[in-house]
Amino acid sequence: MHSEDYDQDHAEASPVSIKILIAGGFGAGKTTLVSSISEIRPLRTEETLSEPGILVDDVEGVEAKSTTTVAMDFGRITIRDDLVVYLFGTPGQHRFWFMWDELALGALGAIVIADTRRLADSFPSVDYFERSGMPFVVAVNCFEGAKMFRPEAVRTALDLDGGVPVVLCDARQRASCRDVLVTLVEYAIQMLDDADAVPAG
Amino acid sequence: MLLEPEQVQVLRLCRRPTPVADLASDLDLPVGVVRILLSDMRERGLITIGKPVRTGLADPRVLKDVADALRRL
Repeated sequence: MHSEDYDQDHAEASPVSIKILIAGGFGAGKTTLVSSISEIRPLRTEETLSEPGILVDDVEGVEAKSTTTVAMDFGRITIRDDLVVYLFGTPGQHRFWFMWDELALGALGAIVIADTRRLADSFPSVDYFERSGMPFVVAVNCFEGAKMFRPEAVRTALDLDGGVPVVLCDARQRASCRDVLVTLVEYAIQMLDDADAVPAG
Repeated sequence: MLLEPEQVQVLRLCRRPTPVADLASDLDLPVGVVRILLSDMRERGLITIGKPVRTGLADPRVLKDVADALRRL
């Protein structure tokens, strides 16, 4: 957003909000993770209909309609009155990817949930966050019945940079989701420290 | 000029600075619709729109606070 989108005189100090994105393929466990760890809230957003969307959304008789409503995973964790963590589930389908840049604005980092049965589904998310330079961690959701993978095997399969943390998790378990969030925040701190350590120029 | 019922609700919800996503969720309206309501209200001087506080992203101390608080969840 441009600075003129904001008002100068802002009487009361705003609370600090930390935004974390939850990405991953369709059905990888994004909704489960958000609801395990946060106070989940309904959030709808209006999006432009793409051609494939028109086939799905029946707009016959309302030809002027060019948007559709999309439900997003949205959760909040209130740490203190003046400090709140927001979780935004990024849309899994290709047709909503144009939303990502807006969602990514000002985010602290991202969690990419990977399902080892469909590891390739997480490639686009990994690609996106690698290009954006945003800190992200890969959380391998250990579904019942799915073959257990070692984190190192997942790192190799996804061709991740050495520093990107890969953790196993169970998206249904609050403690497990909490550990993933802590890993991400610690990684973001480490990236800040590393950036400070490099001389400017 | 009269306010829409949703705008009255916005005034009630915005006694403290409130993220747009929270408003959209509380009002059960799509984010795009809430933006339009807010834009009208801002033109009439009823609300101000503040820049999101970004200090947390640049300040390791805030992030360490967040990590500690998350560990206690």
